[in-house]
Amino acid sequence: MNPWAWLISAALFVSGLCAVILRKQLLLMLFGLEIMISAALIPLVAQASIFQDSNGLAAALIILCVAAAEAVVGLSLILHLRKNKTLPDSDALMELKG
Amino acid sequence: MAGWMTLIAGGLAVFFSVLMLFQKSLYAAAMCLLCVMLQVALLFSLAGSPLLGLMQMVIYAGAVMVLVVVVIMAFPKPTGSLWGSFLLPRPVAALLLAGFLVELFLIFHGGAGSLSTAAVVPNNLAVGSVLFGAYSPATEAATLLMFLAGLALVGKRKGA
Repeated sequence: MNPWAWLISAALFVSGLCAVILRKQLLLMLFGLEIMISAALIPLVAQASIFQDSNGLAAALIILCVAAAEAVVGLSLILHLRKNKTLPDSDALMELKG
Repeated sequence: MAGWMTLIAGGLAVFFSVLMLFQKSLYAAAMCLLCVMLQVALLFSLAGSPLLGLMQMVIYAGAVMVLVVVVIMAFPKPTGSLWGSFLLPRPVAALLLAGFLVELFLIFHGGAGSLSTAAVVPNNLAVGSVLFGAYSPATEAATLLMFLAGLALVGKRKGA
């Protein structure tokens, strides 16, 4: 697992980054963020397992929960924008109002 | 055998994450994300942490994807097909299906032990004792954060 973990993680991270940079829809940008977080967790879990480090696995579990909470907050923000009839694109959020 | 499974799972995860970039339909993008998350859960299990793989599956495939589908349903109805241009060329689709089937075969053929390549899987009890021992403030903070995130989804009352 170890030699491939870094390569797979890097490829996933780059594709998530591309989703954040290239796509305008907020939902797809959020998907890209989730992929980036998962990609960062893969080597952490692999190394923690190799070194039999419970602290690493516990940290990965906490990061997973925080990422899920972040996804929920992001989705609720997108839903709020949709309620206010704003287009859920990043172009609609170029300026803060008030 | 676990090395092959890692390669297949990693390849499928990368393929679906790249495929997500080119989707016009939000449903299709959400399904691509679901496939990526399931493959990442398998990678966690292969790396030696089945507990984390299970959590990844429960949280993302079970909880976050439901919210994603609800949010997509709130969007305007797409003008074209619901799945947009999700149709893959048949050889590619057959290759993906073969990849999934090989994964399933390797899992069931090798038994539960094939999911772990680490010499010794750290004891889940040790992870639990760390979570509720040295890391207990962080665990409590994550719990509170998830509770507050849940509250963010609750609509504001009129006149409040």
